[in-house]
Amino acid sequence: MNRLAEHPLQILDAKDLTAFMDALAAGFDLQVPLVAGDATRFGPYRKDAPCDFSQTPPAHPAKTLLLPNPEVLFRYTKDAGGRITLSEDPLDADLRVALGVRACDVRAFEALDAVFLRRGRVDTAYQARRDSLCILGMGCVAPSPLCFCDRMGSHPFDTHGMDALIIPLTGGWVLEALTERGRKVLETAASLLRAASAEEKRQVAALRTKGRERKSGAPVDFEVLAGTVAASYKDPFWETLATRCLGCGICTFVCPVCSCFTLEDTGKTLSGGRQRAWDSCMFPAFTREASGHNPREGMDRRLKQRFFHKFSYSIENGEPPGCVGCGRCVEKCPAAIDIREIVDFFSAEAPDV
Amino acid sequence: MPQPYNTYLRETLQTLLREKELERWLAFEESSLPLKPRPVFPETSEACDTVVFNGFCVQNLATYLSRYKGRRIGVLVKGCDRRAIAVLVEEKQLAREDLFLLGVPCPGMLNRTQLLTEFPGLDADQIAEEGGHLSLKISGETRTLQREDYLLPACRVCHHRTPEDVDALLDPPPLDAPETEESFATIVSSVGEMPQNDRAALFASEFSRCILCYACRNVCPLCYCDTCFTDSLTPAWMTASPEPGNIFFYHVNRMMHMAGRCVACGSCEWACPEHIQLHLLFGKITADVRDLFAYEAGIDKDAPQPLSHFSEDDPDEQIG
Ligand code: SF4
Ligand code: SF4
Ligand code: SF4
Ligand code: SF4
Repeated sequence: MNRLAEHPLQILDAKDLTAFMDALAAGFDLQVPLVAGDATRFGPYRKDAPCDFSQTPPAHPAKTLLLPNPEVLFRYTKDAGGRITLSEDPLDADLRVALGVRACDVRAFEALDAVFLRRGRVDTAYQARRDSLCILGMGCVAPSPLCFCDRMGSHPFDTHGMDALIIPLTGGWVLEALTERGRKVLETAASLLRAASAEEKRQVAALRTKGRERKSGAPVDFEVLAGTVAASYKDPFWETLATRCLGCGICTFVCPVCSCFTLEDTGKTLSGGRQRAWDSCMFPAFTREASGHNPREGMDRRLKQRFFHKFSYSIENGEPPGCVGCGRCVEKCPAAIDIREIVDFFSAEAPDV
Repeated sequence: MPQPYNTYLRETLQTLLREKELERWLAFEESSLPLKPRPVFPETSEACDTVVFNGFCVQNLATYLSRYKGRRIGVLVKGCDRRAIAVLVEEKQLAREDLFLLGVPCPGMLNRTQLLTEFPGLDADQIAEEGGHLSLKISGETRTLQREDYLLPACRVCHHRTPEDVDALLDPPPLDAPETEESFATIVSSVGEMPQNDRAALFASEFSRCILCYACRNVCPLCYCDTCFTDSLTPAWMTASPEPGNIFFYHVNRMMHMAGRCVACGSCEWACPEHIQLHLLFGKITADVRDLFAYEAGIDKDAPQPLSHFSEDDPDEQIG
């Protein structure tokens, strides 16, 4: 009998968490937030590698699951007779299960979809990875003070795009399947689950309400923001930020939405390959042309590109906004460039706001 | 830092801005994040009203000077900012006479990450820096910490806190905080005495986290090359992906370029999003250059930089 269908809220007691992950890992390629230094980053579950589900959000974005860095596009070998063979790695077809992905990262997947699936061509490797990813998302019971997803059209318990939702309680996890695929995956560990009690259901409801009502600031009107940002190219505001911006890659690399890449050739005469590596519009080399001319030579131009893309071009092009409010760039930028201040500045500038 | 000190600092900046006919100051103001002041570049007297100085003003301001070449700029300098400027002047990147240097005797900078990890949610108004200790107000109670236990690694071993050869020095100093007894040798021996396997494991776990964001290079006052070897395409020394070979190549080469030039300000480690212990690298080259050449970058201004100078007495017999 399908227990999960009968009782949508299932409890996994804290003591069974390892057994639960072992059960999932036995059937699927299980990806969890692994501890590295004081950060967490999604990677394959291993019994001996510590993972931590409490970092909110995980320091590294879940885009690593869809856009490996680097990603091999093709390989070549040359044999003694000088014959060259090209090969591509097989597409990811087996179900991968990502445990503990936050709502902001799932929202960001949609922005990545727009780039890799919907600009008139499909990136097949991306699509294979995306389609085979089962997302067991996690509600945020303790958002970071820098989280502002609630201003960006989402909230800490947004289940949009998830296959199941996990809500951590003190004594364990509450699991709720949201899609058939999510149910199938949870079924593989069904023996470790039990139906939630009335008290647990009450706790869950309270947490959800609290999460939905989180208000870190005024919700952003993206149409308005797109307009004011588009009109701001000469605004001295940008110069103030560019003066202290260091032009590093931190904000791009920690952003779940940023997806620009460069191509690189590796290897030697007899074997090697071409791969895709993350790049950043904050680096001068990103736009430097072969002649040496750089249309975005100044830091102010590069900085504007970053935010014009996020808040103006993406909206104009009918794509999701380029920021989901995870706050990672705010936390990590050495020059204390705070995207919330940018959003506030240009939201306040709108004539009718 | 007590508020009266910031008032004194602001008034000093305002007076000097006018009297010395400066285009602007390079200094710090508070940001939207706790314990993370950001650089500010005030051009007017009113704009100086947000300036602060406290134990979190880590970033080396000399980094920004390349953007103001040939202009009359005032800089608030700690010991290490001053040393970086000395190296930049020596390398003909800046003209000393363009700058007005206001020295601040530095009390040693504090480790924000360490404090926030131990005291989550700590805010600027809950922490008072008083001489050799910090006093924290947490839910009505006062905790007293020894400042030296919370210094950044570079600042623990710094013995050049008060900048020399400045145009004016803030007097009194913001704090009277004693230096530690430690030196770069302390850092080197702590790693050097480890069994080789443990040392290899330490470096692997630190550098495997590097994302090649180059914040450590970009924040460095002495990494000013127009085209860094990392970005060179002909030849392409390395590629962009954060693979072990690239990471190793980047850090080893950057450190080789820094030997005899690094002023050990610790800005690179401070900027690193992964909190990689870069002081293990710059600590080692600083100690080596000192032991081999009795030279400290930005201090021994009259001696030639050891790694860009040929001498018959070179300790390496292949060179000397
Ligand atoms: S905004 Fe911050 S993180 Fe981004 S490039 Fe500038 S200094 Fe680096
Ligand atoms: S721009 Fe910053 S806050 Fe927005 S999604 Fe990217 S990293 Fe998160
Ligand atoms: S931004 Fe929202 S969804 Fe993302 S971690 Fe924070 S609270 Fe959770
Ligand atoms: S700042 Fe840190 S993560 Fe970035 S390149 Fe330097 S060592 Fe690597």
